[in-house]
Amino acid sequence: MMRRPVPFSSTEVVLDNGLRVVVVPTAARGLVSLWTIVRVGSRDEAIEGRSGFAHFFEHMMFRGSERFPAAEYNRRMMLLGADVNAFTDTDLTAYYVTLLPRDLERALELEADRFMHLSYDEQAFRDEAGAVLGEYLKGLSDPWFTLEERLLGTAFRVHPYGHAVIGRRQDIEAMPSLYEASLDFYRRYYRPDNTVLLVSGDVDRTRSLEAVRRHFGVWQPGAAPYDVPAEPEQDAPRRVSTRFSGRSLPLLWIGCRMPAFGEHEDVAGALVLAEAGFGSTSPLYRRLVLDERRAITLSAHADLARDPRLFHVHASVRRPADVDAVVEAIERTFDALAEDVIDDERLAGTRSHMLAGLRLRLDTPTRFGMTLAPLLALAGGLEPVNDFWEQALRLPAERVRQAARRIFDPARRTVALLEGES
Amino acid sequence: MITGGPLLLPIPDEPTVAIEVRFRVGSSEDPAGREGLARIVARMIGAGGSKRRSYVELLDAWYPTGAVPVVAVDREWTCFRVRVPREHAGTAADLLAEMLVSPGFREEDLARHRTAALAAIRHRLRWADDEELGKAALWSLAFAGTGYRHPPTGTVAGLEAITRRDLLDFHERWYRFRAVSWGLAGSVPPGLVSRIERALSDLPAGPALVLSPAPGPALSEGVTAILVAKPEADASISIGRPLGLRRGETPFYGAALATSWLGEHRSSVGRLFEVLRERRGLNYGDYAYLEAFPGAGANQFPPPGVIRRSQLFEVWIRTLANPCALFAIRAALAEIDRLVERGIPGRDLETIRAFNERYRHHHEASAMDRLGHALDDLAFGLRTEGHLARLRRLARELPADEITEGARRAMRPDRLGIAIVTGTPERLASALARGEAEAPAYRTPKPPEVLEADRRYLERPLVVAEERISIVPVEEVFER
Repeated sequence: MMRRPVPFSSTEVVLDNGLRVVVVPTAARGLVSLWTIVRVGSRDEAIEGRSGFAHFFEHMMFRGSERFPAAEYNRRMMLLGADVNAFTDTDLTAYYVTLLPRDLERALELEADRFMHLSYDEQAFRDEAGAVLGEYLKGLSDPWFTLEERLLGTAFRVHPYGHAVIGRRQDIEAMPSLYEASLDFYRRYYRPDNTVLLVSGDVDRTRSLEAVRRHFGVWQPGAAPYDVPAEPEQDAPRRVSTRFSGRSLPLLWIGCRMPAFGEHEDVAGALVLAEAGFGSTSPLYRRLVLDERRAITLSAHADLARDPRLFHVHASVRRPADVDAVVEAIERTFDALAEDVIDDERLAGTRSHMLAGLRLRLDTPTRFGMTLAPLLALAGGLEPVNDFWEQALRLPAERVRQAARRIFDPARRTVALLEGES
Repeated sequence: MITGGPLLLPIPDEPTVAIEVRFRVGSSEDPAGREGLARIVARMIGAGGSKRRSYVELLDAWYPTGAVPVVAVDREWTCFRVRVPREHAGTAADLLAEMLVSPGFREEDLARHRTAALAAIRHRLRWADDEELGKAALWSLAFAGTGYRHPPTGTVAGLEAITRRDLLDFHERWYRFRAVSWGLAGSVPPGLVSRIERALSDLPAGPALVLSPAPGPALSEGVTAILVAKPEADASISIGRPLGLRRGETPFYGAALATSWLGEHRSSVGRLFEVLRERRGLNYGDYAYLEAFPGAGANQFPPPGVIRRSQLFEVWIRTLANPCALFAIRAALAEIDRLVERGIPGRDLETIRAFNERYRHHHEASAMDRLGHALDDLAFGLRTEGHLARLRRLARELPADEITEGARRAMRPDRLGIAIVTGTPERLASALARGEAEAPAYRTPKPPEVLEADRRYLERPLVVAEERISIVPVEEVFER
C-alpha cells in the first residue's frame, strides 16, 4: 500500500462530551507532545471592540486554577522539564506541552485542570493586558506587521479576518475593562465539543487514550460560538499603501480572495499554485529574485481557513523604482496560471517537493503538532487531513488551472504596498 | 578536529536523513575591511552555483527532494546542513558534495548575496529587530578590536568591498579536507557514507590550519555601556560578562544550573521572568544565557555549531519602556548578586535539578539536532560523555556549593558590559553616569512586598563612568 502523506497511523475517538482525541505514535523516541487545539481565533472576534481577544485569552490560560495557581502550574511543569507554549491564529488557539513519555499523565492532569477550572481575578486580568500591549508594541518594530494590518483591513470590510490576530491597538488598550467578557468567552469557546486533542510522538495508543479519557472525560460540553458575519464578495481590485516609522525596503503584500477549506479542491489547488507559481524554482522567482534581482525575497502561501480568506504573495523589493515592475510581474503570473496548465514535469516536481516538505516538517513531536494543528482544527482528524493532502498531490493540472482562474480573478485582489527606500 | 571519518548516528524507523558538514572557520577570520566575507563565501557555496551548474539548475535539481541546504555561519564554525526524506538522500548527498567541493563563485551570485546581506544590516538588524540589535551591540562592545566584534553578516563597508578574488582566496585558505568535520543521522541508506566521503576527499588537503588566537574580551574592571540611539525606540537590553568556563569543566555545569534558575530561554518560570514580567508586568520576558544563542527570536533551543573559544554570560531583558530600563537592569543585577552570594534558594534547588535532567532531552528532539550536538562534543573533545548527558547527570549529582561556585565564576559582576537600544539615549546615559534610577510607574496597584523589593533593587549601586558610556546612532551600527 502507498504510504499516506502523513505516514503514521492514528487512533481517533470522540468522547461523549464531544472532545475529538487523535493519538499518533511517530518515529520520534523519548518525547511526547500533547496539543489542546481550541477552535477559536481572531475569526471569532466579530463584536465591536473585541479584536485581539482570542490571543489575549491565550495569555489568561496561563493564570492557573484554584487547585493549581499559576505559580504551582509553572513549578510542576518545570519539574517535568516540559516545553510548554501556545499560539493563537485566525481559526484556532493551540496549547502544547512536550515532555518525556513517562510524564504524560501528569501533564494531562495539569492541562485538563486549567481547561475546566481556569480562575483569575480582575487584577490579574488587567496586568496581563499590559503584557499584550507590550507584545503589540514590539510587533510594530517589524514593517511586515504594519503592512499586514493594512492589507487585511483593506481586503475585509465586515469579517473579523480584517484585523491581525493580535488585534487593533485601541482594542488592546481597552482590554483591561473587559473582565466580564473574558468569563463569557471562556464559557462559550473553551468546551470539549469545540476542541481537538492531539497526542503525538513516543506514545502508547491504549494507555494514552485511557489517560485522556480519565482527565478530559468530565469536561462539560456546551460550546456556543457567536455568529461570524460573512464578507460580501469583492467585485473590484483594491489597493492601499502605507509607510513605516523606521527604515524599510519597499514591501509588497498581495491578497487574493480564495475559498474556505470546505471547498477542498480549490484549496488543494491553491497549495500547488503557491509552490509551482511562486516557489524557488518558479519562472517568476527565477526572474525577479535570481536574474533581474528586483526582489530580494518572494514567497506565497494559501490560507487553510474556515471562511473564505486569502492567497498571499509577499515580496521585498530592492528599489522603490522597481515596485511597479514587480507588481506587474506578479500579476502576469496570476494571469498565466489562470490561462495555461502547468506542464507535467513541473507538476511532478512540485508534488514531490510538497510531499517531502510536509514530511520534513513532522520530524519532532512538537513540530508534528505545529504542522498539523491548523488542519486538525479544520478537518477534525488525521484521516481527513491525509485525504486532503492526497487530493492536493493528485489534483490534475487542468483542475489546478481552474482553481487559479477562480482565485486570481483581478476583481478579487488587494495589493498593499509599504513604501520604503533602497 | 576530525579528519578520520564521519560521525554516524543511525536512528531506526526515522523517515529522514540528516547530513551535516562543518568547516573550522567563521566570521572571526574575516580579513579587516572584508567583514562578512566568511558568511558570503558560505552562502555562495550553499545557495549559489557550482562549477558545473548555475544556481538555477541546482535549485531545479534540489527541488523534488524537498530539501535545501541550510548554511549557518558563526564566529568560528561554518555548518552546512541538509534534512531530507530517506528516499531522496542519495540525490541530496550528491548535490551537497558538488556544491561544497566545486563552488562556482559567479559574479551574479555574489551580487545577490551582497544585496541581501546589506539589507539584513541596513533594514533588518537596525530597523526591524531591536532585540537582536541589542545583543549584537553587546558583543561589539565586549569584543571591540577583535574578530568577534562584528556579527557574521558583517559590516556595510566590509560587504561593499568584497570582490570575487576575496572569495577565491578565502575559500582556498579555509575549505580544506583537514578542516572538515561531518556526520550523518537517521536512517542512512547503504553506500551513502562512502559516497559522501569520496566526494569530500576531493577537497584540497593543504597545510595545517592556522587559526587566529582566541579573541580576548575588551571589558575591563567595572561597567562599560553602549547605547544605540534609535528614534522612538523603547529599551531593549543585553548585559554580559566574559565567561572563563568551557563545556566539559565541572564549574561550567554549576553555572549552567544557576543560569537555568535565572531563566531559560523563553521559559516562563525563571527568576528574572518572575521578577520583571510576572510580578511587575514590565515586559514580555527576561532570560539568562551561558553561551551565545544566535537566532533566539526564532528558536526555542540553542542551535549547535555555535562554538566560541570566548563566550559571555548574558542576560536578555526584552523590550520595555525607557523610564523602566535602569530599574530593570538593577533588579536583574540584584538577583544575580544574591545568586552568586547565596546560591539557588533551597526551595528551588530540587526543581532546577529535575528540570535539567529532563529538559535537556528537548535539545536533541530531531535527528539533525542530535547530529549537531554530537559534532559539537567532538569539537570540545567530549568523547566519553557528551555535553548534554553530562549536564543531565550533574544536574542530579552536583553539590549545592559547587553550583554556587560555578555561578560565582560565571556571573560575578566584576566586568560588565551593558547594551541598550533606546529612543532616549542622553537621558539614560546621564542617569547611568550619575548612578540614578527611578521606580516603575505601574498601571495597576502592586502589593507591599513588591514595592519593598523595588526599593531594594533601586539601592543596588550602578554607576558607569562617563567616559565608559558610548552613544552610537543606529545608522552607524556596523557601518564599518
